[in-house]
Amino acid sequence: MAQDKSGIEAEGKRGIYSLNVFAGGGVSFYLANPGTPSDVKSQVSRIHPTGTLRVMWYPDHLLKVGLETGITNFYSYKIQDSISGNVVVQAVPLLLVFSMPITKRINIFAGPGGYFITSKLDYEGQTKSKTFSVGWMAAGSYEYPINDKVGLAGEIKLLNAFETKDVSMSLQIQLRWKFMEW
Amino acid sequence: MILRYCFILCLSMALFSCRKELEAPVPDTDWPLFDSPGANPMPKQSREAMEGIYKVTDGASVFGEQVVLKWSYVAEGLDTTYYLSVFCSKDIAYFTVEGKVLGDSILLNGYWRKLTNTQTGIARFSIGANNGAKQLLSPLPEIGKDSIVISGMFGNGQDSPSNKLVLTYQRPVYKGTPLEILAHRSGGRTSDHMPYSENSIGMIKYASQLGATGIELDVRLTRDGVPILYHDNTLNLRLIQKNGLVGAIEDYSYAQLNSLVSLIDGEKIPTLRQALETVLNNTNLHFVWLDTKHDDSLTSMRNLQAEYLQKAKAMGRSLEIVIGLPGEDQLAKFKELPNYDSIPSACELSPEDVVDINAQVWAPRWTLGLQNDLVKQVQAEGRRAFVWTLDVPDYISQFINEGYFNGILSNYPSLVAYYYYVKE
Repeated sequence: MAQDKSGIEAEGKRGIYSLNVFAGGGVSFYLANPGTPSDVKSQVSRIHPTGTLRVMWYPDHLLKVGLETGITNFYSYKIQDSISGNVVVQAVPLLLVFSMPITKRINIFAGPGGYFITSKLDYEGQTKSKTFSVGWMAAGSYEYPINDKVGLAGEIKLLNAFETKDVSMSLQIQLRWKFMEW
Repeated sequence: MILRYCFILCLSMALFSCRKELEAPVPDTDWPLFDSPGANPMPKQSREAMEGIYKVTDGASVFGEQVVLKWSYVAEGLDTTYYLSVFCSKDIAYFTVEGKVLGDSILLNGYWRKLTNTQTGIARFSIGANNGAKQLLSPLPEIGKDSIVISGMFGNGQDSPSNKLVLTYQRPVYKGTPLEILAHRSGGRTSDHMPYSENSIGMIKYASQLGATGIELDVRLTRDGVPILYHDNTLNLRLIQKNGLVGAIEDYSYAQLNSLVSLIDGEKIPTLRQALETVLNNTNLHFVWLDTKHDDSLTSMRNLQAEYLQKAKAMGRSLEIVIGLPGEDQLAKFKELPNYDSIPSACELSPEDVVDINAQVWAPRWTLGLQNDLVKQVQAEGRRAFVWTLDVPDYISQFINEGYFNGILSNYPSLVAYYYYVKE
């Protein structure tokens, strides 16, 4: 079933396909137990800036699919012992995302994928080390259309890297741009 | 429609990604009677006389028809604690209890555990004066069939013991052809929910209670070249408590690991030096297999091996320490060591490689089978053959009863001990 210009599907013809890019930024709050070392005094910081880049294919039906990446600092902590230092845990997600509108302006997003996690340690020398964790994301957004191609959205998102037990919630402002349609 | 199913799948993943954590905490074994002022340590001759094969006359449905009783010890300075282990074949169960003499009876207090699941519980037994204690406490105990009856209760979890268990002495343990019972990962795996983390100091001390006569230690090098015990190539939540640090363990210095990383049960990652010090001073283990988990220089491992062999000799301790060579890379590094053909080693490659480096031990994987002809050939050259890592009960029995290996490396040393000591 395809849609005509008013969005009503016409028998035997497909509707308009489009590619949309989402770019956003905001703050993330780390929800899981950060698990700092038990033998040293430390001060944890759970709130960090975060950014998202997402490309979605909008077909002529409700369910949409795309890919998402971005960057987020899950958490960090300062070591305040006889020797001071700090640890930063950063993640770059790569996720397959499915999306559906719940109402005209509210969309939900969810999908599986993985997280490239980097820990940066500055304590008795510097160490930067990486690992990969499988995980998922789920998000909900409210979008205000600025014109036919551009929309502005507010999004709340949960990121879960379950092998490393990292979970964060973020609030982001996003810009959606329909950059291709056919 | 396919996209819709994918969406439901994703939501299901989100819901089910919270995995249940399994645990088998050691129960609280406080027993006022056992800790009463009148209860005294058991004499040496009583302990030794108790060892043997026992028939399970009550409780066989839980622990099997027969069990093996063996003593071991952990020394802490001038204090030595003796533990009586009970090895069962059913569900890879074992008991570890301490013994005391109270009046003319013997009390045994501890806990049991099954390694096929997370079942555990308190165990409290006694041997009455007329059930063998009088004989066991005599200066020269004479023990015969049915002369010792150990009776008591076992519980589940932290519950008070309420299930009956009776063990009746049948015969002595097998003392024929020697077998090295080697415990993997210093005693047992973290994934088996042992009381201590794998490759920890606590686990090394515990290994004897699991029936081990020797241990395998996984050796890696830190960024600054310190040999440490750690199995996996990365810091991960299977082995360590969460601390934000990830990636290859070789990326970190020893100071960083020692300050910031705790193993899953809270212990620090031990250095190889600390591990060998523990083997030498705290246990009666007499074989250490250093499994080389890195492909850097073996010089630091070799130096520690030589130092602790020398210390053991000076103490009059029977202790063997071999450098394990699992692959071609480690073999090449081993050949870079001066006088490598006189360094004790365990080579997992071919018998020809074993001859080439004059290894003391040939160590093939168990999946290659009994290999009786090759084993005999290696033994004819004055070497020994150890098989790894054998965990399947039927195969453990087969290798012990039909094979000629001098040692078995297992994640379940208590099961190897059972099948070995029940031999007739």
